Amino acid sequence: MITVTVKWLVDFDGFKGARGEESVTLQTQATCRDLLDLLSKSFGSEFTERIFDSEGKELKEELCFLLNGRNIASLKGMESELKDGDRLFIVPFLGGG
Amino acid sequence: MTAEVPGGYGGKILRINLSEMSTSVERKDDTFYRRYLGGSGFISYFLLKELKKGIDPLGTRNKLVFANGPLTGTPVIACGRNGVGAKSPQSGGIALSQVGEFWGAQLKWAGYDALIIEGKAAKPVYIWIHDEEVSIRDAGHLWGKNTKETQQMIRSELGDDKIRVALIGPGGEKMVRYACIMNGLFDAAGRGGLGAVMGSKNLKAIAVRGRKAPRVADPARIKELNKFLKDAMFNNMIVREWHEYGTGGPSIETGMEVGDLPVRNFRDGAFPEVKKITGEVIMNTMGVGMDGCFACPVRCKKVCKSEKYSIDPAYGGPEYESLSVFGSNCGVDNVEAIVKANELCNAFSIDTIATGCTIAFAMECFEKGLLSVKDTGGIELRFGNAEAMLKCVELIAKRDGFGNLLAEGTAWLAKKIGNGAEDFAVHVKGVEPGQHDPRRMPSMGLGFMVNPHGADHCCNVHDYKFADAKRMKTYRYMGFLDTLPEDDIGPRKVALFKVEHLRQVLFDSLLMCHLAAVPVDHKTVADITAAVTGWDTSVMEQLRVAERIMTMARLFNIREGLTADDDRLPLRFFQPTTDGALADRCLDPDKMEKAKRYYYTLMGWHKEGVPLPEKVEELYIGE
Ligand code: SF4
Repeated sequence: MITVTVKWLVDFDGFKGARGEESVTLQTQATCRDLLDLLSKSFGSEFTERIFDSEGKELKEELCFLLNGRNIASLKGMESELKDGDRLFIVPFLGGG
Repeated sequence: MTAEVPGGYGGKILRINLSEMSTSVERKDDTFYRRYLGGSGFISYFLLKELKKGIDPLGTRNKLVFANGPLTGTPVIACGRNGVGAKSPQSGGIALSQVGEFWGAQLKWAGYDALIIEGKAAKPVYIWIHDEEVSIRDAGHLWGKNTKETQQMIRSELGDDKIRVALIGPGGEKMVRYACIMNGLFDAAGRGGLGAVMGSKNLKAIAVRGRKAPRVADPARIKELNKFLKDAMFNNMIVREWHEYGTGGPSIETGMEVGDLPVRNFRDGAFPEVKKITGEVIMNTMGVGMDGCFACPVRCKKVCKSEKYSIDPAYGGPEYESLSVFGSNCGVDNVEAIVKANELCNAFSIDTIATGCTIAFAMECFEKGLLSVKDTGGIELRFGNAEAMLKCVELIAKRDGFGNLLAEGTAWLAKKIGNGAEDFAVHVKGVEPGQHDPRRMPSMGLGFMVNPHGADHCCNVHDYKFADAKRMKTYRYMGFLDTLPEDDIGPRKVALFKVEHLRQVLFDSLLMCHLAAVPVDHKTVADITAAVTGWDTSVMEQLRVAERIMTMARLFNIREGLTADDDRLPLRFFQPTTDGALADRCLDPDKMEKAKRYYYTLMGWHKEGVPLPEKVEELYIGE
């Protein structure tokens, strides 16, 4: 088993699951997708709708998934594997000054 | 010339000579407007055409150009902006800066597309533009006053609260090399030292009131576009974040996580205290409301008030840049002190980015023993010392004691200190960088290098877009079909950089806010321009205009003696940070150099960065 820290910020509208930070225990070799499935189970369909696009497959355009500071888009996407002690952020894209 | 003025324009250019105390109005034809557009385009055109080589930026022969774009003051949302430019006292090249609020819109409503200030007044004056009436008035009683008092006094003596004022505080008067021009009390044409140029002309303020909205070519289409823009903006979470907390909201923590947030003069990476200084913390503890610019639904401006340090809400609150530069970049986690530093800069009219960066640089010098309490007048100028930081801001604006050294900026200070200080002096062409670390974004680094006005983050490019398949969709019709890794800076990335950078140049010329323009791709830029002006324009024409503007600005810099060697990043960006996300990453100098040369080629410039004579002719420059 591995333990990872995940932090998410997926909206501002007062929905309870819209932001949070937790330590999560997962199977060895779990992927980013496994982690999101787990969070979806905790927070239900409202959470899922906020993070996935309409087909429910990919992260919404406005969000990015950072694994130890790197966007998973430049790794293996949702199939990127996690290891013990990883830090994950699900957050809006940065921009602006 | 009396040809019909294209939609969106006021039709007049106002020239004021302060040495002669004279004013005159010029008119231009459709070709001029279509060729140079406005904002950065007009500024580059007038400065290239009218300034003599080698003039003193703070002398009488420099000209200060305020320029609207065709969108300024029209109903298109988020277009209440104007550009300002001159020969920069920081870089010796061109200064181009843009600013929001309502001033530009008022200038347009008074009928003016640009305002060119020449000469120097014999004693302090301010200008009052009331539609066609223009007067130059005594400002002896305003000299030395901060921006709030100045604005209040002008409004009350002219008897109209709706007057908008572009002005300087004591920082501009004392010609702090990076003084800015404020539109009102919390929007700044911040970069390049334009406030010092205004101060050098003994010009305290320009008050404007206009009553006639410009005609637009296709109001129905603008309505549709506005609906699209507003929906797209508010569908975007980062825009919703700005609406709620301003820039630097909760996602500033993401910035630290990915290595975007500068920490201690760009030396370090980890700053867990970031949690204490987010826009969310500020709004929850000091926020009294949000404010915004002309016709913008985003309203991204924090308004803060606090007993501690008696923070005055009249001066708004810090945006991301100020939060970062006075926060993590000075190692400060005292959030009230950060808000206070921002307030002081707005009151004195000094650029927050350059002020904070210069202080951060001095802090590193102090910690390395290159400056001592003897130099600082007793200030323990260490990273994290919030009180020392605030003291420095005041001293800078007044050019008092140690402040007089800091008031010259990072590049000058580094030279003066010597002993290796230049190795960690972070600036490009003497202009301190916007608060986005280019070590994770080579395109941003390339933008810092080649921007004619120095290390600006606004007229610049974020690499993450090109790594993301969904975002790349908006480049497909230009033939860019594939994503590129974030850290790539090969020829394909440079080609993308060029078109993306030119889009930003268009925002600064049409005058649309970069923040609110998040959903505005190249096609939409052309669509909006067509709806406002009535031109049968296209993406291709718009890119050509932007290329012309960049080439004019380039020619200006070359005439002033800047070379390819000035398009150079500071050493620090070629070294990893001590910790944090960039501890194992930095830019590769060879790759960046190659990217720069390839960019020159794509722009039709010689390998030394000089525009080819054929390019100059092709683009009708100088006609
Ligand atoms: S997004 Fe902010 S800075 Fe831009 S126009 Fe709107 S209020 Fe002004």
